[in-house]
Amino acid sequence: MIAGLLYQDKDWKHVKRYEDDNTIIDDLNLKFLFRTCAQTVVWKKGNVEKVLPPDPYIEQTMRQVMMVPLRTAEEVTYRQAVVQDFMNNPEIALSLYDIATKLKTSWELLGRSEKTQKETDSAGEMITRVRTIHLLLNTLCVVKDLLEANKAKFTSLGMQKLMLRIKEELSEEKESRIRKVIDDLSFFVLEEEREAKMKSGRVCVPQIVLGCRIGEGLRFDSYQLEDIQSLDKKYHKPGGFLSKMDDYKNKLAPDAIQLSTNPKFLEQGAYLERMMASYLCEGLAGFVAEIGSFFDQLKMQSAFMVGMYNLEEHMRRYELHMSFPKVGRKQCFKFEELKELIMCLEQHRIPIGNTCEILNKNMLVVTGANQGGKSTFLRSLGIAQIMFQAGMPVLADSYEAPLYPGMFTHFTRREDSEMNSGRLDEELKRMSQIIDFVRANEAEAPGTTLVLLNESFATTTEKEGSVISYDILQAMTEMGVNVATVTHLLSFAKRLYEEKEQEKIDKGIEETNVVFLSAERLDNGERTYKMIPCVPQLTSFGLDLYDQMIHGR
Amino acid sequence: MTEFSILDRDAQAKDTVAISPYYIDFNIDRIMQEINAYWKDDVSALYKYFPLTEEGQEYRKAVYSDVCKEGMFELLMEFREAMKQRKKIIENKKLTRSELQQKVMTLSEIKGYVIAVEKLSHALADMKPESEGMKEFIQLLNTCINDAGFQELSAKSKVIREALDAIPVKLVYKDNFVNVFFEEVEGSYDAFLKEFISEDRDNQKLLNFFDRKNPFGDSIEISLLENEIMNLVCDKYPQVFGELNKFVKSNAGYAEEFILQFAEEIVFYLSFYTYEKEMKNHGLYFTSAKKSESKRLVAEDLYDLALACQMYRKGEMPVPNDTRLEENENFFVLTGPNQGGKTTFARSLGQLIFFSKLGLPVPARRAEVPFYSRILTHFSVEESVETGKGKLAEELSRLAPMMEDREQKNDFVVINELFTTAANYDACIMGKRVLDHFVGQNCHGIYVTHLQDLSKEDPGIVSLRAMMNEEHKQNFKIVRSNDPALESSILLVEKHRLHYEQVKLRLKGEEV
Repeated sequence: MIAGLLYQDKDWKHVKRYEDDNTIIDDLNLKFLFRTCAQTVVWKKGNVEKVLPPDPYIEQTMRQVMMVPLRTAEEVTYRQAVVQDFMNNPEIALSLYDIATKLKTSWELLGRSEKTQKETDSAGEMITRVRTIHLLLNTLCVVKDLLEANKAKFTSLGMQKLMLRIKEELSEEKESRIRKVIDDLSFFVLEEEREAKMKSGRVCVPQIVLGCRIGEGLRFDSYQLEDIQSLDKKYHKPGGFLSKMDDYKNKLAPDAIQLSTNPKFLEQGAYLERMMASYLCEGLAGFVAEIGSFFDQLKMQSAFMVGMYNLEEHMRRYELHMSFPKVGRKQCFKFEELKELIMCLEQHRIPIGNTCEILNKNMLVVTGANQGGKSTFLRSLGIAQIMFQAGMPVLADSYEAPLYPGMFTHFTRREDSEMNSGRLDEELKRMSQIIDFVRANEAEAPGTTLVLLNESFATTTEKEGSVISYDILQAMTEMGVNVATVTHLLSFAKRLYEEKEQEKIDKGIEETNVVFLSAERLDNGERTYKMIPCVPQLTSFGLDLYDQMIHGR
Repeated sequence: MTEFSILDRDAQAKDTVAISPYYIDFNIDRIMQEINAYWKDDVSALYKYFPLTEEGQEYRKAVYSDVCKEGMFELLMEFREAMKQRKKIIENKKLTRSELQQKVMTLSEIKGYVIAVEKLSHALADMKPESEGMKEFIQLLNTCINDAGFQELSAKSKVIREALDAIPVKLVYKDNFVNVFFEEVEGSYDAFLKEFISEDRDNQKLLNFFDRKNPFGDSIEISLLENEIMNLVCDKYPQVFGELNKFVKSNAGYAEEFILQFAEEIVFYLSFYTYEKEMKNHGLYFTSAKKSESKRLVAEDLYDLALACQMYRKGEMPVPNDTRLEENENFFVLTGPNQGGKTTFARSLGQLIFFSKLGLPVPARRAEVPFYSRILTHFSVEESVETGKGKLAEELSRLAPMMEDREQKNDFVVINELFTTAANYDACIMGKRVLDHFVGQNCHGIYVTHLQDLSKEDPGIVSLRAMMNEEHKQNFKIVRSNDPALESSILLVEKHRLHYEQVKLRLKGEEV
């Protein structure tokens, strides 16, 4: 049984991560986001009282789920609806997560992890197995009741299907059958429990009826179990009068073997009981595996929902609202007031929003002033796209884009912008790796690759870096790959711009595949940190910054 | 007693020469490891002697080509499995003290044997094998199963077993008592449990649960309680058990020795077949070496099998070579740069001779190999710390027995770098004399050396040279520039295959 909160028709085993997920996490600083999602905000009278330390399981789950892109519009709609359901009813997400977590803890206390290593038939192990069946059955009943009671609150297909599945998996008939097996096994308890019961004058004993044949090596085989049950009886002390009366009666039957005549017989009788219990557990092993894996999934999937709820609570601190994006058609990028979410969380300030409509382009070149918000802009785009592709809402008034399951980032980090050939080698190596990944993704799903480059090839001279950039980006876009680049390589931007202008004239067209954006700079030199379409300049206005920092010296 | 061996035409003629140094020198040990791994058992002993004569070699080749016929391998494997089972029963008999149990086991042992022999005899004849070995074996089998004694053995064993199978036992366990009844049960609780199961795999697991976990314990020996129950069974059915007693007593030495020997020896062919099939799946190839009438040695696309076993895992293949020694030629002298594949070539040649002497397929596309009576090898021991005179003495001590005079003079000799520590002048003279000796003895072989002079003069000597492999050539020549910095970064771009054209080709999925 799948939990089905993240996908309609598959569980988590059959999903494909972003090829280069670790790089994406580093480049976009997603670790901070994962951690925030794992932190519960505690409110008191409308103010934040405290923020709890992160729940490591949720943190890890956010990473796991967000690093697997959804691939179709249907998948996005399906997941968004479930996420919406839980954002409307966070208490149920929390309950489910709590139930699944507690189950896991209890099960581990019973020794789940040991069991997977080695299947033994010790009495202790057998009792564990019986109890596990009991535990899973009861927990599933709890989930069933919880969902049933809140039925009206859910509108998403995912939740409705989940309720149906549980009902099917745990029909009244099936539940009663499982309870019968547990009853039949009730003779199988710990020694202390048996003794406690004896004190009250009762005892639970098994009755087993077993058919068999003489095997090839004489030992019996072809066993058939006719019946097994636990009989609750009055306790008769061994050696006592009543007990002797019992034995006398039993001995009257023809072909009877009294086990108490030989300690070995008693031992083997106990072994037989254990094997029968093991056999019954084996019969329910499928149920245990099925429900066990269901709860593993449920834990992970509800953790994601709790993470979403936590994130929304963090946004509430800044009075910011998130919205669910729409899957747009090919090469259609539209957004209003898109903000860089992680910067907001990390620096506790509300960043500038950007509004753009970019249609029919496959190359986005951002140039312009230093400190002008270029990189922030690119990151806000990357973060939103990742969240969008995880079925999450994004920090924008609206957001519409196609899905890019093949998303890659190539960011020059501040620490490696130093110029030496070792660094360039490293950068080129990463780029080459991306080309391999891009190829694999395009072969599978053409036109679904997006490469984000931030200040790439800064580790060599402007002249060389421009040549390298030009070559690689031209080749990629000509092959249908979508690219967004933030660059300080102005001769690259200029050359590209001039060529595209020429193309317009040559072909008599008004638009090419490339759009140039720049950080807005007002006439008085002030920066607005907004991106606007603009002709690339040969200066990045570093002088402005110089003046500002050095004060005219 | 019937004398027959599927490995040797003349069942008594065995070359019992112990394992020779070439086992290591040609990396046969590594190939053996793979053969053992695929066979899941150590079969090296079967690969440690050659047939004594050329006819013996051909006898094996013919049997092997029969083994390769469709259905043959499966048939022989089935027989082999049955005989393994029989052996296991014999082992198990030693693990129980119960005489009754030993008797029932003997019954199974005999029944398994007769069924396997009958089946093999019929099915083998249907396969119409062509080899002398298989044909003779079929004849012997036929005689065996048509014998009246065998037929009674077969019938009796089956009848008694059926009688045992027909006894129904029902146990009721309750209140520290086991009550035994002789009646059928329906297994209705089994049916109840099965309802929980949706997957086939789980169903299978439940079905054979008691095979894995015997409710009376998992020893081979019958448990005490079970034995107590069994006594009641014996009392109830005295006639069946009486028959069993008589049957086992009167059939002690029932098995034919030649059949048992066949079951052991056929593993030689089966294990190689298993290995060959597996290797072929990985793109390697084999051929049966043709008998060479004119003493010509020919191999096309010969490769080092041991190296190939390592390389196929990475999706690679060693570079194959064509090679031939014509009728009037005796010896290869191979020179060339280090790391040029000299030793690999010498090894592949050694393996060619080794496998053709065993009567098995060889690692080449086509091969023609004359009969050699022995394989002699001399590889320099690289890890030896000895130098100078010490090492030379060590080399000569291994060389001396190889150069002793013998009557049969058609050995195959593989020498890899002799006298590397001696002065060049001395080494040349000594090398020449060694070469002259083997050529004079009419031996074939190969001499790998760094001494250029050895390859001259004698018309019987074919000189070979290992060429440098050009695959790792660096095509940095394309871009020339006076700006060293630019050049270096362009070189880096080249190195990472990130030129405009390169990127485009790569995105098209083409090799760059």
